[in-house]
Order: sequence, then structure tokens, then C-alpha cells
Amino acid sequence: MFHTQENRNTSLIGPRPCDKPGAWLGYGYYFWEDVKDAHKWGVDYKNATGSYQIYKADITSENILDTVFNENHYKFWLEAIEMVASDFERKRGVKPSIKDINEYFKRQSTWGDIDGILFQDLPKSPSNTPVRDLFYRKRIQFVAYKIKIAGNFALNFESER
Amino acid sequence: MLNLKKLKDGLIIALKQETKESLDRFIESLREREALHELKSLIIKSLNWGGLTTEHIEASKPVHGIENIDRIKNFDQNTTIATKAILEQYSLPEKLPERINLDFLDKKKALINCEPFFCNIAL
Repeated sequence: MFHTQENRNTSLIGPRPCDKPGAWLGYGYYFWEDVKDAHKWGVDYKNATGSYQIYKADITSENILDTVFNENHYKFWLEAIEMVASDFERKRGVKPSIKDINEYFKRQSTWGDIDGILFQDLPKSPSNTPVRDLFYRKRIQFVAYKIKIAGNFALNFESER
Repeated sequence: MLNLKKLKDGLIIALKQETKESLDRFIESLREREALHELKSLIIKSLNWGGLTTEHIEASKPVHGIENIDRIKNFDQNTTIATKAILEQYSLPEKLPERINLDFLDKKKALINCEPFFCNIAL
């Protein structure tokens, strides 16, 4: 998996956590499944220094919630999201955001069993598809909540300034 | 292997215990955390404008010889603007600005010496 960062003239020895409020699945170490997405993220969002870096890591854990390829995990996740969302809306009268829901998940003690979550979205950008008006390509990300599951972390690419 | 049943059961029990008030408090704490994060980002930007680099801050390296008072004034002004912007954006309760200001003022001296104060902001 691939981890994109700004190039600050140094090589990281491990992934940097993302704690931005906009991060869907909360505080964690975010990776791209496809290097294409890692490059796009670098060009669009990690280019403030004029260059970005992509690091590669092997993710090893049996405790990953795989909402992309594992049918049971996907159905569980869907049910959990809908359960929390409808409860929040019923009690508060306002729909929660996906981040609110995930923060709520993480607050549960049982949720500590999860080392990371594989998830996806379908970006509706013409540059993301060779087919007109068909946005079929999954953009797959992984968030690791425990740094130890990201092994063999090493610099894989550095863009030119 | 993840035990999905255990995760689901835990969630059901937790939701049963929630009331409107407890969920409101939960959401409020999230928004406060987001606001503090935003403040942290803006302070870093302020420091950048004031002449310090992100590398200095992130590496928490002591930076000596910052005697240019204009930089400090610039930092103060930018931080005030940043704080106001955050308060407006998030419609924060009044207790929060007090907490931020107190925390911030307490740490200001350390900041000028570039000690790793960002680690001390409760995020």
C-alpha cells in the first residue's frame, strides 16, 4: 500500500498520522491501495513544497475490517453505519456525518480490536475514468489505527521539483 | 479474525444507553476537538508567516536568536485573527475561547523559545 507525503527533503522512517477533521475514519495512518491514487493525492494535496513522496508499506494483520472485498465485513459495516445514523437522527433530529459515526465506533471498547479499515469511494472526476459518465473505478484507501501493522515502510517515489 | 458479532452487540448496547443529551455532548466534544485542530493548523500558518518554518515546529528544534519583535507581534496578530475565525466558523461555546486563550497564553513563553508546545495542546 502507498502513503503520500510532502517532500520535505527528508525520508520518513514510518507513516505520518492524519488527524485532520476531514479524515473520514478519524485519526490514523492512511494508505492508498493503488499507486495511481497515491500520485493523484500527491499532485493535488501534497505538493506545497513543489514535490511529493510516495512510500510503500506491507500491511499485515488479521484484524482488518475489509469493507471493499469482504462481503460479510461490508454488510456488517453498512448495518453498523445505518444503526448509528438512524439512532443519532432519531434522538438528535440531525443526521450525523460519516466522521461522527466513525468517531462513535472508535469510542466503543470493542472497536479497539480493529487494527485498520479498508474502504472505498467512487470519485466522480472525468480524469478518473476512460469511459464517459461512468465512474466505476473504486478509489480504495486503508486506515491503520496501529502503526505496527505497516511493515517494510520505505520510500518508493519522489517527484521532481 | 474480527468477531463481528461482538462488535455489533457492543454497539447495540452502547446505543441503547444513549440519550439526546449524551449524544449532544459527544458531538460537541468532537466539534471542540476539530476546532482545536483547526486552531493548531492556523497557529502553524501564523508561525510560518512570522518567519518560522513547519520543520522547526515539527522537529521541535530550539530556534535561538529570534529577537525580532515584529515577528512576535505578527504572530500575535495572526493568532488573534485565527482564533476569531475559528470561533465564528464553529459557533463555539464561550467556555472554549477561554480555554484556548489560557492554554495559549500559558504556553506563549515556551513558544517564543520554540519548545514543543504543540504537543501540549490537548488534541
